[in-house]
Amino acid sequence: MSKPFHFWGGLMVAGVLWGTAVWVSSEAARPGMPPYTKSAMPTFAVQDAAMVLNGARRFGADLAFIQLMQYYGSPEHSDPQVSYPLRKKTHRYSRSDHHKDREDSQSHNEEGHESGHLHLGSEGTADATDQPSAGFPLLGDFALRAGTLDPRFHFAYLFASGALAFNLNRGDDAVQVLEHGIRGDPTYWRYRMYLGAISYRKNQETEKVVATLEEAMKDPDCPSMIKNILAHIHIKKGNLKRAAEIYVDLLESRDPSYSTHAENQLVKLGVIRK
Amino acid sequence: MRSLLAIARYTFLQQFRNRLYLVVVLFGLLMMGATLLFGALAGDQEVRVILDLGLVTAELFGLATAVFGAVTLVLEEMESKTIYLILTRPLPRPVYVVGRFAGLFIAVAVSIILMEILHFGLLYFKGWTPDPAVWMALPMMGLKVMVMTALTLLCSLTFTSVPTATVFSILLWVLGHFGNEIRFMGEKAGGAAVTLAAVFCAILPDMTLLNARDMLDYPGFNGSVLGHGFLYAGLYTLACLALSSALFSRKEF
Amino acid sequence: MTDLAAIQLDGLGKTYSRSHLGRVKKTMGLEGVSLSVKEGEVFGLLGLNGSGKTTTIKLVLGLLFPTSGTAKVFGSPAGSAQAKRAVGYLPEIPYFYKYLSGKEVLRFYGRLSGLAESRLNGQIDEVLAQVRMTANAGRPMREYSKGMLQRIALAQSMLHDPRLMVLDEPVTGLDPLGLREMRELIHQLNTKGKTVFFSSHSISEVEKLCHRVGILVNGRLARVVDQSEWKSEHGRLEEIFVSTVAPDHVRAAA
Repeated sequence: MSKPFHFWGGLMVAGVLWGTAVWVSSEAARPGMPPYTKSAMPTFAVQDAAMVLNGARRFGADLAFIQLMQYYGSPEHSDPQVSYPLRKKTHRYSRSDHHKDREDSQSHNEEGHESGHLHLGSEGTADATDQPSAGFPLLGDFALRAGTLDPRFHFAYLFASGALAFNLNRGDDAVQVLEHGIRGDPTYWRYRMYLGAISYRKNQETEKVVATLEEAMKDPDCPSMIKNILAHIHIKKGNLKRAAEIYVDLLESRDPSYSTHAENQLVKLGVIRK
Repeated sequence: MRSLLAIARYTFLQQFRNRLYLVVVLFGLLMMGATLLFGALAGDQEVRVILDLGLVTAELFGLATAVFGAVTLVLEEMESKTIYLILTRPLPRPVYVVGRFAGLFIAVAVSIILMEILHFGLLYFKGWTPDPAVWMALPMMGLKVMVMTALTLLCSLTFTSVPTATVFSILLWVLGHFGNEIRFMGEKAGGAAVTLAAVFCAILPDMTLLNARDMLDYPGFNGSVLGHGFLYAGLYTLACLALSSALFSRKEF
Repeated sequence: MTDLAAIQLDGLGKTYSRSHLGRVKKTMGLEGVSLSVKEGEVFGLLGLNGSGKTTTIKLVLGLLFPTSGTAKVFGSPAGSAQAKRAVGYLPEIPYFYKYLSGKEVLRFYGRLSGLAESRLNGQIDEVLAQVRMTANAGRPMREYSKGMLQRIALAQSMLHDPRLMVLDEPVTGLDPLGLREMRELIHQLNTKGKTVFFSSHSISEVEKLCHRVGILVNGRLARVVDQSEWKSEHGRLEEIFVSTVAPDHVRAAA
């Protein structure tokens, strides 16, 4: 066969195959994430864009969550003293902004407030009537960022909303996070369960809070933090037996900080000996 | 058929005796081990992070071996003139192109399989329970790499320059993942932009259809998606190979 | 043997086009070459560097496509599968995959030539013996000397028992023993009925081997010389060659 035949024949075959491929693509279902339009945290826009462009949005959400965990675990990110609502990020939050916030909060504070850095022993021990903590102002943003990348990354929303509501006493911020989660995945009913728990807490309906969190504990996706919070609530209410049961469950946690804390608590409760 | 198998076999052997290929695979295996470190930072989500990072690692390193292998596959042979003794044999040129592609893809698939064996070993060690969605994601990953291997081969024959072909291939990989966003922006802009976006997405490889890694938790990710993925990837790959054969048929040495 | 010419070139021409910054530069490689090489003949192609010898060979092999005219091998278009089956090619400088051994290379090329698996091993052993490479066939090619590479190159060209052997400068770079071996091999091949078509700079070797010689000058076939024209007188072919490629030089000498 001659060279021209091979060339034009190849082009024709390629055209037919490609056209058929385009048709298959147009007919195919495409379960997955909605189009990604912008990052919830401009500081990480480049990192997030790189993940999107490599088809790694789920992994990008994982990285965002790891950064959330590191942020929440870093004492230097806690702002002491005065409370303020969830910062809506319209500009790049820089070190100078952080210093300015500290100066503002110091100039306004009179009574002082224990910093909200991650301390497992204090999770869930605050009352709804306590002052909201100013610590970790970007906690919600990190969760929104993870959820924007992967709207079905439920854990990020549950973790952040739990921390905001029960540890940092910022129920409104927690509600905003959960509402963002509901927009991304309206079918995930546990968001509404957490909303219920936060609402009960606000109204000081402690029994209902306990009941809701007990229900949440049955979910295999329930964050260890929520279990820890529930255990502390039970200790506060004097239900040491139930608290011990929860700590036994927490011994299996993948997060070593929680499993270690649970072990220590069980020693304190006299259930196990070190 | 014998000729095709012979070409595929020596291409496969050539990859395994290529130092760059071995270095990339080794690095991929090391990175797989590093997923444990990332997982430890994620607390309760350790298994999810190991799963996701492992899939990304295997795919990206597989892509690297595919792209670096494909850009040099034919170009190097043309420059070194080893191609003379092949093309002077009664071997149709399309058979040469397809055989080279097949040998390279099999070598890349083996590298991905090795990395995934390690990956799943780590996951089982961490108490992961097998998920049907993940088993479906693995062949889809292979399909993405298959499409990129064919596309890169086409780029190498089109541009006849290794750096240009490499850059262009990576650009197509990236833009292929941006299809949903391109269509979305076209719809937002309206008018001619919709058609332009559609044309652009038709030319680009539809990586969003094959990107099963990001579909794992989503309802509707089922056998139908897998079937469409196989069909699309197969057709697109064959189209690239047909175009490559057409271009190669005109090459003089 | 058939009545078909082993190689039939009719008005064969090749113009090279190179584009640079939008400008197309054309270079004439070959023009109006008409030639018929009979089956069973040893035909030599002589010419200065750049005269078109390699271009002619590549057109016969299908590595280049003609701009004008036609090239046929045993009646089939040059470069077609039928033509390629009949041709064994020895390049001027053989390039092989260094990571393969001599035997693996031959097995690979044997498969590409369409040799049946049952015949392959036998053929490989036979050609290795012919080129005296049996002992070294298992070593990787990167350990081979230049002479050994040349022998393997020769082996791969004979592997599928082709009717036509096309050799591009087969005697270039060979030592006197190598020259003699190559000469004997070409003679043996021709005795078996094979047609041999080769290009060379070496007039003395061409004289000893060929039935006819074609002289290329600046891409044109200037003259075809029959054996009878140079056999009678030593050095006659050289005179014919010089007078053909550089007539001014001859006139000046005279």
